[in-house]
Amino acid sequence: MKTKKLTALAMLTALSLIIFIIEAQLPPLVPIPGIKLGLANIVTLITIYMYGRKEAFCVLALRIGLGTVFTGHMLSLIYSISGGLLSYIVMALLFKLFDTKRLWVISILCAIAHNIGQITAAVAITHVPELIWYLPALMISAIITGAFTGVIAMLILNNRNIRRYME
Amino acid sequence: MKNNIKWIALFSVIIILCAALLIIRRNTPSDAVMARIVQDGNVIREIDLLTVDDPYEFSVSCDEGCNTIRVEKGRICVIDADCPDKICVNTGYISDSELPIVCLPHKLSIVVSGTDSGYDAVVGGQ
Amino acid sequence: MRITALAIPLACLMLLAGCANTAGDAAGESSAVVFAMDTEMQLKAYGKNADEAINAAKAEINRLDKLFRRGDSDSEIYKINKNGSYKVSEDTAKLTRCACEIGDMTNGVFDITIAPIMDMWGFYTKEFRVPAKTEIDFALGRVDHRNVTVSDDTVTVSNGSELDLGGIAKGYLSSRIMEIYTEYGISSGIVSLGGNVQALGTKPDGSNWNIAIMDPIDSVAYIGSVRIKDKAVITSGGYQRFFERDGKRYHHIIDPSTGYPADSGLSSVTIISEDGALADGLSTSLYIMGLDKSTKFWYDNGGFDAIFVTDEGEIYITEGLDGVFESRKNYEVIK
Repeated sequence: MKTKKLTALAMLTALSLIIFIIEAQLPPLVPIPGIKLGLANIVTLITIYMYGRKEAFCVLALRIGLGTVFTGHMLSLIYSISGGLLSYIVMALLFKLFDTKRLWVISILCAIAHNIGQITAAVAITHVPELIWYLPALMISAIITGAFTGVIAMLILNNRNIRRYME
Repeated sequence: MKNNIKWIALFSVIIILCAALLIIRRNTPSDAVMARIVQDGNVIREIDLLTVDDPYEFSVSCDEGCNTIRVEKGRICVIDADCPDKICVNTGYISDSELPIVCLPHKLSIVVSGTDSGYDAVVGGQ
Repeated sequence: MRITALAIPLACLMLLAGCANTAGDAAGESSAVVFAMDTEMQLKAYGKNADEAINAAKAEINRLDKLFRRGDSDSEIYKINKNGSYKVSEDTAKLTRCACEIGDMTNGVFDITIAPIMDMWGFYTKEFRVPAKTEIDFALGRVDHRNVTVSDDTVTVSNGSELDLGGIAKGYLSSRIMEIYTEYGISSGIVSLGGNVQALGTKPDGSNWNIAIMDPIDSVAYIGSVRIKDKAVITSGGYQRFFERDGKRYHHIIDPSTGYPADSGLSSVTIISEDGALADGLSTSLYIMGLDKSTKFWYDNGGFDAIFVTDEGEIYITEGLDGVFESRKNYEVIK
């Protein structure tokens, strides 16, 4: 791995970790578990488009691992992994089919997958199948937040100045 | 551009469907009166909310922390918790099956449902 | 194309979520609530002849209730006690024999002649009092399960003893209802006779019945649950029927060796067994015995499983319940 790429990936990881930690400090927007902007996903999206699947996975895995260490709950690790993994799978399978102009679609699909993963984990952990009733609300929120983060990722990727700096 | 519109249409439909589902569920009258307090997959307490004449509070603790639950006639809420996100407290009172109260960090949830308690029978020392 | 490919699973998901709440009515389901033997009895049966089975079970409850009611001059028990010896129905003979066997098995801890002492404490009339020690000692002289004998269909009581099958009748009744269910071709049914539960087969969906066990210390909470099929689950404890005098609590489970409410360090005992009458008799006996003697009794006899809760709230379960008993509390497995 070239030093430059390594440095860039390390920067991206650090960036997503900072975003993740700051977002974790914010009070929840609505009293529904699992609803958040998911800003850290912007970085994962940028990474997969700029470098590829493997690199994006590394950034994501490191962010989840280190994020758990910094925000400090073992249980949230399970939610992060189940949501993050499902979202990553969707991203890895579909990102070749969508160019950067359609990135917002991928972002929404990832957010939906993320929330489905989390609700599945929540049902498995709490054994309360009624939690599935949070799904409609989570879907709506996934579409809105997914579009939001997707548009930001698009803006960044399509900005020539930022791209030149990254490459 | 055409492609974009297709996707926007799809996501709009999903949003409308989900919103409809939420609204329907919220407006479905239910005879739910049994509050089930589930911790770590086990029902630790069941309360018939209609029989609560005097409100009372109790605490449920686990390794991660503690939630204080308040029961009133026909409704139940978490009034205090030491979990990081306080979502369980912010959910406020629930009185029917709309949505369960959930405290993911403490693996605790409170579900109000019909008479179906998840148990088929209860044995006690008579 | 891609849109439809995505839309279909999403639509399915929502449909699923929508259906999750509508409970399907099983074909042929019948239930009833009956008041007999001083408690509320709930019956439920699934199957083609569910209605008929429930009606037959209700009739059986009333028949046996009349047969075993000690204070009713028409009952067989009354006649045995009055005449000293009486030719009884098959049910009374069978149950008395079973009760005597449990009496022998437990060395008299289970005693079907304890009723006069229960009367003295006021547990039948609900006019509670604490009898004098001399009064109890005198009455204890007539308490001995060996004074009851059954030969063919004649039950005899001697030495002034008085027979009462109340401590085992509900367990026998629940087993009888299982037999009636079976006769009517029911493969799935459950009864709850005032907290004594017995289930036939599994639930209609094939899963085991999930029976919650009340917390003796906090009566609106549960200590856990057991998933069973074809079993009776019966709990004894002094936490529901008791009275208080001068700050002291007196419950209804009388130790036949002292005449006083049992004080063995246990707050509840739950027995799980195929035989309802046995489970009913043993739950009382083991409650009186206490944890150590009960453990030994379980080693020596086997044939049942038990959940013990001590006065301090510690939970002990026998080996057969490991994996069957579900609880978030700590418990110890007796092996």
